[in-house]
Amino acid sequence: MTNSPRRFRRALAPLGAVAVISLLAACSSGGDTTEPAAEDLTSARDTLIFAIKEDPTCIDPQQTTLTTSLNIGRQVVDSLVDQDPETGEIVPWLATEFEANDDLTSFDFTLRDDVTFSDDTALTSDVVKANFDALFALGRTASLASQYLAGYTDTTVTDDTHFTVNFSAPNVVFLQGASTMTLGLVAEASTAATAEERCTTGVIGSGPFVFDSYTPNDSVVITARSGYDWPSGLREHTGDALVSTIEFPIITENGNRTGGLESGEYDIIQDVPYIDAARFDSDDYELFSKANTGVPNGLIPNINHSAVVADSAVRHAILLGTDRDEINDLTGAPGAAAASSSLTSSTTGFVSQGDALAYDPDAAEELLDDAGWEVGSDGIREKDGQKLSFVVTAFYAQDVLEVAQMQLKKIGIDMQINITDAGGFFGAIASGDYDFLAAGLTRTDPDALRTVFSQAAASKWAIIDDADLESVLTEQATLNDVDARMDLIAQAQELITENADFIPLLETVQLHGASSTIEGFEFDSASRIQLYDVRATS
Amino acid sequence: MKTLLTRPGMIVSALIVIAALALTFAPQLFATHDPYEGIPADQLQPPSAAHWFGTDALGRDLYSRVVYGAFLSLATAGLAVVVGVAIGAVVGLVSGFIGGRVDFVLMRIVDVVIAVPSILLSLIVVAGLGFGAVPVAIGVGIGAAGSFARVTRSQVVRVRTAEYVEAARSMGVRWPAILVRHVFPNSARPVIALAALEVGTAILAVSALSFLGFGAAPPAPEWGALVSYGRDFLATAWWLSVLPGAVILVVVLAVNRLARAIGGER
Repeated sequence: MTNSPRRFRRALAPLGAVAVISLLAACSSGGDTTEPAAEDLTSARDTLIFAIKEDPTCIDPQQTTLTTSLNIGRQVVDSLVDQDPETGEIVPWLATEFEANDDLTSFDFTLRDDVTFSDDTALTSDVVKANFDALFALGRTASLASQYLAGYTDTTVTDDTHFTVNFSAPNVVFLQGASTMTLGLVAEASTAATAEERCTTGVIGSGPFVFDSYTPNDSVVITARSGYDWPSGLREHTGDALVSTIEFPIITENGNRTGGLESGEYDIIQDVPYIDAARFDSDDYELFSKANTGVPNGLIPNINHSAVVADSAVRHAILLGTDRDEINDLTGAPGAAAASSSLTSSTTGFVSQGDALAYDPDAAEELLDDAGWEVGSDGIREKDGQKLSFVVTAFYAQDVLEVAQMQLKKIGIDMQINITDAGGFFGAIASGDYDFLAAGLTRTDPDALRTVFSQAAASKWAIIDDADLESVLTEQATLNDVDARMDLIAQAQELITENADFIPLLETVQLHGASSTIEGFEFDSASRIQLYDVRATS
Repeated sequence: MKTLLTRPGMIVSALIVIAALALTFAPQLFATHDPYEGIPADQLQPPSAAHWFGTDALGRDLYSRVVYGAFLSLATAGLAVVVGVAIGAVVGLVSGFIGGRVDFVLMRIVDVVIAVPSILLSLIVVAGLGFGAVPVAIGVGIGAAGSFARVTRSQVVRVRTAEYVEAARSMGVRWPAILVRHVFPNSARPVIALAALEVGTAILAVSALSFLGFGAAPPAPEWGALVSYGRDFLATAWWLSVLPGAVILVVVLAVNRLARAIGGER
């Protein structure tokens, strides 16, 4: 991993934080459509094969939280607005104009009048209302959507193309949420279908592709729809998608995906292991990488579960006793930044806590000595007969945890790793049965902090006792003033570091690979994939 | 002695099994590095004089990990065989000694258990008991218990009618004593031979389960888990899967060879 590939298509460099701050400033800038470049694009081949790493489980983009499934769903549904991944600016898509009121409790939209779903029904304000009403009613079944729609009261329809979305409390994330596939719009027939039905047969969207088939544990196939003519201004072309079929075979074994890319069986593969990046560092391949935004992978405590975790000296010692640079060198993507806060460095509002988080095993040992944790005969510290030992529950990134485990053992901390599956992980969250969770949360907005750390959030992962942090997190979600809000986001990161409420470990980078004949592969602002422009050159 | 020397395969097998047992009970004598401590600068080195089996992505010495993994893999396999023999012997003894309806019912249950592929049976047991070395041992043991029960029963049925058993009974020896003192010892030899043979199978089964992620928690260097870990590196670091895999192969072959000798095969 020492020789970093040179041909990275996308810089790993974070989005300029300043640029992304314009996210909210863009609220009132509707109507300013940039004309797509009228380039004459064609594809040399009609069918592309995109190997994915796991079964999507549920192919309804509104319900799923799995990136693999969201990536496919993105091609089938369009959203009200789009977000420029470079600048963070919210731009028109299905809505030509949009405006938020000052306290972020109501949002006016004006729809395009020429959009149809693939069942030939038209997109009208009533359909949007049916979408949001149905989605809000799903509650935690659609957990991502319920966060974007927090406080939703209703949608007021003025006429076929004008409507207002209303919230009972300020909603700082709605507009950005409206650019995601989670709030992507489906036809009225789909809003009436049951949640289970939509998971297995998919939804009817207005996007450039339609679901053709989904065979669990085998593949998903989407086909292009003719007559599509409403891409957002961020896309390279207009009209129909450039390829007629995209197949997504489910290939769970990493070696099979990389091997298939090498042999030409697959055109694009999801998740190239970092260790293989150097293998595809040639003119025949293209690697696409993007640093995840949101909360980096790290240890998330539950202080109610164990006296060890509740001991703030222990958490501080873990914070000082983990060497994030070494973790990044050993397990991170080539060229990625080491984790240095409770937000990743590419997230809006990120403030490095690097000084407070610098690796200092001596200071960590001193903290533990002072707190009465004495080194026992087996090298593990103990106090009053209790071992300094805890269990970390995770469902991915075992290597990251093993490095942390090695490092903590040096200062006498015994960290046990419990690798389970996604079901076991979320089950542990639901039952509160964990010492630490190890995971990251990918979100475009720094409100991700509230999702993970606010004790009032239904979706919270951390069980902590930090009243100052709670009030800061609650307050930031109500502020329309970007600067004031970012001050609070900075404060929240400081508080989390001060109280050792989170032990950051690694900033995850998505790394996908493709044959160099593939062009038009794009990430959206939430690091999800857009395939509307994708094509093969001969 | 002469027969041993004319069979070099036996000698090699015996040496390998002795070596494996030595690794199991005194790994610290053989390991060259700390199996849990990585040297980041040495990550993913191919086999060399310093690292005989190379190193993994965290810079841990693979040879030392294989050495320390022997205890987990072999002890788990041993425990699995003990569990299998214990369950199988009890069922077989009871079934064969009592006979009649009890025999019929127990043997039909055994038929059903044997009809289910043992790896599947082990998976079901492990899924119920939770992950870890002991559940895996119990799972594999239960998977193997069916054949032990059958062999034990067939021996018991043979021995039960032997003259010395009849004699003991006519002298008024109570039946538990007959069972333990006369029937069991005289029906044990084929069971022991089968158990020896089953050790090799159990090593494979335990490795397979830990390959699938049901075994000991990380960073425990169980052999199957080492092979599994190397999968992602097959194209870049072949030694991570191949060398632990070769060790499993060699040990299982050697155990099998010796077991066949115990069973009287040449």
